[in-house]
Amino acid sequence: MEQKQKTNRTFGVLFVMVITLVLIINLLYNGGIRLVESFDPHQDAMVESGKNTDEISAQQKFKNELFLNQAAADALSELRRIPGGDFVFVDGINNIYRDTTGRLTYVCRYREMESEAASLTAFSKELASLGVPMLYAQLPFKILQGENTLVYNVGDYSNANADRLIKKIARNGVDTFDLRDVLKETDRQVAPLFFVTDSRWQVGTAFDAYLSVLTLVDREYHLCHETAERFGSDTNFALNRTEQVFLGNQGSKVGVGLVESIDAFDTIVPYARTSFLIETRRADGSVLQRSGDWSGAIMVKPTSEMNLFDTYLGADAPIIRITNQNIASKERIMIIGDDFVNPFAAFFSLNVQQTMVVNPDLYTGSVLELVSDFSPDLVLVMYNPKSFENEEFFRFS
Amino acid sequence: MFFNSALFLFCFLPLALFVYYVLFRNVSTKPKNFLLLIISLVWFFMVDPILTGLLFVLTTFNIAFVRQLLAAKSKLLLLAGVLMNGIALLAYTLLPGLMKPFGIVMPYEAIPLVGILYFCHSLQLLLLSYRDDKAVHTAASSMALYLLFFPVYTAGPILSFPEFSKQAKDRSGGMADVSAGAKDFVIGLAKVIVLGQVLSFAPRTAFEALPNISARFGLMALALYLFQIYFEISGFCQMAKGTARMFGFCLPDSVDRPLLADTITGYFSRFHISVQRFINDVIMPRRKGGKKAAILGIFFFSILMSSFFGQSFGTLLFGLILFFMLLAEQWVISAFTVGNNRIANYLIHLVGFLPFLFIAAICLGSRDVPQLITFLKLLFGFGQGSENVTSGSMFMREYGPYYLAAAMAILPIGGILTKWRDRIPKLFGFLETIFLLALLVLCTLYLSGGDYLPFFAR
Repeated sequence: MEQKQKTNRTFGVLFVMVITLVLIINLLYNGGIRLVESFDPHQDAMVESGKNTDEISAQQKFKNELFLNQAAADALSELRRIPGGDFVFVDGINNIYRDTTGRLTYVCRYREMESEAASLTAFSKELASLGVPMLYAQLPFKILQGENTLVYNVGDYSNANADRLIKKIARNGVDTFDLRDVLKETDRQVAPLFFVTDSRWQVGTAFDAYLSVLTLVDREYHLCHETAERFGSDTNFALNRTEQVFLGNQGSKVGVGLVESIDAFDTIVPYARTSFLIETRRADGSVLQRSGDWSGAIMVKPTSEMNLFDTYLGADAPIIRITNQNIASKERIMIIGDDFVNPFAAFFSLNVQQTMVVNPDLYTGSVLELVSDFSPDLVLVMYNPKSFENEEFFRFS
Repeated sequence: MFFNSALFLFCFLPLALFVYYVLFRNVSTKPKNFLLLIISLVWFFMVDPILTGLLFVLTTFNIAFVRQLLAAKSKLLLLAGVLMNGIALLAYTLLPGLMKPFGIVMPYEAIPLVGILYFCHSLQLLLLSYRDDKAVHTAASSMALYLLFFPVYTAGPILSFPEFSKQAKDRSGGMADVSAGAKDFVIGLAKVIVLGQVLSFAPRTAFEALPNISARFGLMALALYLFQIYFEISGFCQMAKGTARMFGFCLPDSVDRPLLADTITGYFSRFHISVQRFINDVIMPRRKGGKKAAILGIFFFSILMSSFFGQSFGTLLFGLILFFMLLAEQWVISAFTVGNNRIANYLIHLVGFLPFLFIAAICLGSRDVPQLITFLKLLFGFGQGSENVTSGSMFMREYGPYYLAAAMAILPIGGILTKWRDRIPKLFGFLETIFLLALLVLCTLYLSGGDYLPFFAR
């Protein structure tokens, strides 16, 4: 009994010491344990806008920020390696898997795509009545078509869902462009189309997608003709690759222990002189303005907590409006997309005077009304298959 | 702010302990009780300010009712008190769901368990005062502390007022209590955020991936779900016990290895020990013990749970299935009992009622009726999705050691550990300390990755 009491007391003292030490360190380092509503800036915007709070997973809704947040994720990931560690579970909705190429990836649940197709078709018809053409461009998913790179027998329906959607809307007369096929035909290897540690495509992939779409837009919609020659080739851009700098959104969640290496990050800058005015409308209605050239306006200066992907036009926002002050023509384009599209939109803004980027997941108003007000010459809708699971992306009115 | 949050463990708890043991070091029990009351109110405020206001008002009224009942034994007064608590707490719990279809968003998220627990405590206080129990002749601060004692408001247990008021008047508190409480707290925390969380992965994936899972994976997920429920509830009860002990209060055990029960009645009795005690001592003091009391107790609690969790049809269905399972066990299974052969009887119960237990688990875990029906169809061999299904083998490979640890954790190894402790006290003590410290570090790592909400809080 005496030894038991002694053991209890020893642990009791250690317990009090540990919890007090963590409190003191947090007070000194963080100014307290801050209750932040999300670890992910995208989730921040979602919560701020009051949208989809039911869909934010319970686990991600609140994260107490302890000073060792990332270090803890890394340490935990090392622990998880011990039994196997080929995938790290985040929550039942967005499990993260490590595939045979070493990439971290989500998987997509099976969807019939009926309501999504109906919604896109209705939207296209509404736009047609306003005299605005619409093009649906299917973005690729990390698990490419025909690939079988998952370690386990896990049901992934990303490409099947996308195939179903394209088929249904094409049958209803909606213009479609399957970027999955286009990007596979490039000289790139399969894996580098996407980051290893982030759910999104590489900046270079977004650039290739931009070149393909620009060619199509010029050819089929007779837009951006004057600039297509100048900005429609990679010879007019400088690529700067920085190795081992980017720990993406998935890598941050699972910890570096479960990834082979962290990603390189590309910065692609046009050689030509540029001048932009960027207006970012935040979820609370406030508008952030930036002006300057490509490096000053389009590219946001990275901070230590920032996801590098957000250096292109900043973190996700409901609406970003880009005015290219060096373009004489009055062409306007609206890009409705998910968190993939920011670099794409940045490149596209070189070709039109006005570009509006809308994220329906964050925007609480009517996208159709936005189109009426903005009067674009073309509406581009671009989603990656993971976004199909979010109904908000198909709410246009 | 549940106990399994970094904010509670690394901010609220150390500050509360500091104020209680350092700033209020040389004071008597009464001011300490008052301080605990303030600490409890602060805890409630951090959980939900609106709830704090409601409970504060109800507590004031309840104390007034108690005084009146002690003076005049009026059934009408008793009924008024019970109805006041019931209606107020039900309204608080059910309003958000009721207003949602009208587009009205209430400025809070209701926590049904808090409603149930407060209702039981207030009911106990009112009934005891109507019966003029000696224990009720106590200071208002003790009564208020009983009603608002924060450790029990995550997952129980339901406290016995006479026992609580005894400890409120006379308890020691000190490093011995803090240490014993810390041990229970850390073990409970590990049960929830390590075992409970890991066990939840497969069921959540299964529910989300329906119907594209194999039937085998579905069954595996349901079995793990039952384990998850056990570890979460028992973990929270142990954390409650540990937290209360740190402030000098010894709470009774609320969960006693229900997965080792050999009858369904036994299973639920072991899961809700304080509920049985509440029914026996408070609701039906003249009919203590016996199967009828056990069943009535479960029925009472099922109705209570169904009312407060009314927005969740799954919980309603779960309560109903439970009740009918228990009735069936009393009437049907007794015909198949094989004498005193415990193993045979255990197997008979398992085979006879495991399907119903699984169905009850599906009810509890399903988001809506279509999902429930899809899961049921899958288990009975109908309505599986495409051939590209998710299997459970990855979970076994990834988390097999955790599942093994969970299985071992429910075994009655206390006796074996006690023998080792007696034989090699110093080495055992050293190993135990290292083990607990390692658990604390592991829990800290998990906590800094984000809060984990247990199944009853989703």
